[in-house]
Amino acid sequence: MQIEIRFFGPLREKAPDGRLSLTVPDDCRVRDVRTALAAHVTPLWPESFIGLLTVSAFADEHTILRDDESITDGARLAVLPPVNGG
Amino acid sequence: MQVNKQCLVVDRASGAISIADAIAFVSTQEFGAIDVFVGKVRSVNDGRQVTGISYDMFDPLALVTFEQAADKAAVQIGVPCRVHVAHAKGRLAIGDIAVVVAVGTGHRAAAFDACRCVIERVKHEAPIWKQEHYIDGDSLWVEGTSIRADSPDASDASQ
Repeated sequence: MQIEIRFFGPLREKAPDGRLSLTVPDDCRVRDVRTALAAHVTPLWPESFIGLLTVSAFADEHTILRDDESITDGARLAVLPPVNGG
Repeated sequence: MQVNKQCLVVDRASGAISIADAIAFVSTQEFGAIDVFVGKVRSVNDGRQVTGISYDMFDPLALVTFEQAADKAAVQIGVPCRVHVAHAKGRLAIGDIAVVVAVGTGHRAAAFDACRCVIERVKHEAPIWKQEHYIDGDSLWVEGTSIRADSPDASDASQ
C-alpha cells in the first residue's frame, strides 16, 4: 500500500517539498514504516541524516505514534526529528 | 480542573505575536495574578553572532501539544486558570517574539508554576524546529529533544 511521508525541520530539505510517497507492506505498523523508510533513504541521504531518522518520532496530526501502531492505506505520516521550540 | 485556553500559531510573514492580546485573554475580574513568559530571538548563541531564526512547525500537532500543556498545567496547580500560548513560525529577526505563554490565576504562586510548566512542555514536546542564521552566512539547525514514543533501543529489541 502507499503512504505519504512528510518531513520537518532538518529533514524537510531531504525530499522535494518535504514529502515522499512510500510503498509499505499491507497490515504494517509504524516500525515497518521506519524500516521501509530507512531502506529507501539510506542510498540517498548522508549518514548523519540516517541517524537523525532513528531518533525521530512518527506522528499524525493528532498524536505521536508508537512503533506498534497499525498504519492504513493512504496514511499521511509526519517524521519529526528532535524538537527545540521556544 | 477548569482551564480556559487559547493556543495560536502565528506566521511571521503575515503577523506578529501580541503580548497585549495574551494578557487580555488571561485577564478576568476573578484573577489577581498574571504571569507572562516572552521568548525572543537573541543575537548570540554559543559564541556565534546570530542574525535571525527560521522556525519550522507541524502546526496541527503543535496546537494539540499546546493545549495538552495547558491542561497539564491546570491539573498541576489545581485551581481555575486561563492559559494563552502563541508560537511564531517562519523567519524571525533579532528581537522578534518567538513565543508567549500567559497564565491568569487567583494568586501568583499558581500563575508562576503553570507558566513554567507550559513553556517547558512547549520547548521540549511541541513539534517545532529552529534554524539559526549567522552573520557569516552560515545556517544551522539547533539540536533538540527526541519526542519519539519508543526508544530506538526498545524498538530494536522487539524486532
